Amino acid sequence: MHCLKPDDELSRFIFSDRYFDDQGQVKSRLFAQKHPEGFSVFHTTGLCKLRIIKLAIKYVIKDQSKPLLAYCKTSVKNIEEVNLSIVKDTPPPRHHNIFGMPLKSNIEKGKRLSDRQFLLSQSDLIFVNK
Amino acid sequence: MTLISEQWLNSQGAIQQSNVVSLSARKAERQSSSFSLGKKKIKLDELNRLRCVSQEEDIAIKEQSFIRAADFINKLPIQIEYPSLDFEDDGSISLEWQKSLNNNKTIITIVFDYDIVYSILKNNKPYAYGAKSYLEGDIISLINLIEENFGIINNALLKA
Repeated sequence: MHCLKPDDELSRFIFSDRYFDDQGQVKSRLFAQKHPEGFSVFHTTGLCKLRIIKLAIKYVIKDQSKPLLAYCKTSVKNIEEVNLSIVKDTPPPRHHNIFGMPLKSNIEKGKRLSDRQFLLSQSDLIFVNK
Repeated sequence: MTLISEQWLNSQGAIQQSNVVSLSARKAERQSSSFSLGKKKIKLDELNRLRCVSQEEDIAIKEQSFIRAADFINKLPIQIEYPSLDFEDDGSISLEWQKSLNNNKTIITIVFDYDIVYSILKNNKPYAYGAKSYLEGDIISLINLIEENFGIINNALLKA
């Protein structure tokens, strides 16, 4: 599935200011989209901020109509704590998909919201222009 | 006699003072109430704008979800902070309250699906999640839960 260690860092890029609330806090919805059961991240362990931005510019921005605003860093350990699975999906290099977000019954949808909130609480937000 | 007069004067002074305080409080309440109604209107306008934003992403907002979200925002008492609004990939409207203190996040998210799906994170730990039907009693219990965590003290009233 993947060769990542629990402390490895995974980053989710933010291209839209819609992911920020009025106070500039990231909404938990950041950890959704892409596909119904999960979202997309890049393995960024050991990369400095500049290299991470370059990774986004080279492989992701070309598909986006908006510029990179920020990225949220979390770890493999946090993803696995809420029982989500990480699947390597290259190209582009370092790209992984997160799967396993439940969504069938209402209770499962509640669990999905809970997972999103947990991941947000365990993430660090890094702005590109700061 | 002097003592009685002093007491009477003191009590009159206290009544006058209390009238001034109560007038100021009522004025502050009116100001705060109109401010809050203004904020409510802004939120409802924001909710309307989500329709356009969702179209850009090829997502159609579910009508029932939209109506319920608007109704819920209207039902929020003025002492509750207004949430951030968004839509899910299936077109349901979501509301989210968030605060962070010393890196400890508290988040409440509710999604207006057929029922209301909700989740609460307190101090970075999952606290509760589930679904409630869109009935008066359930809505009130949800609003109470939000008020417990995101109720704001009316500064204007405190100053008065």
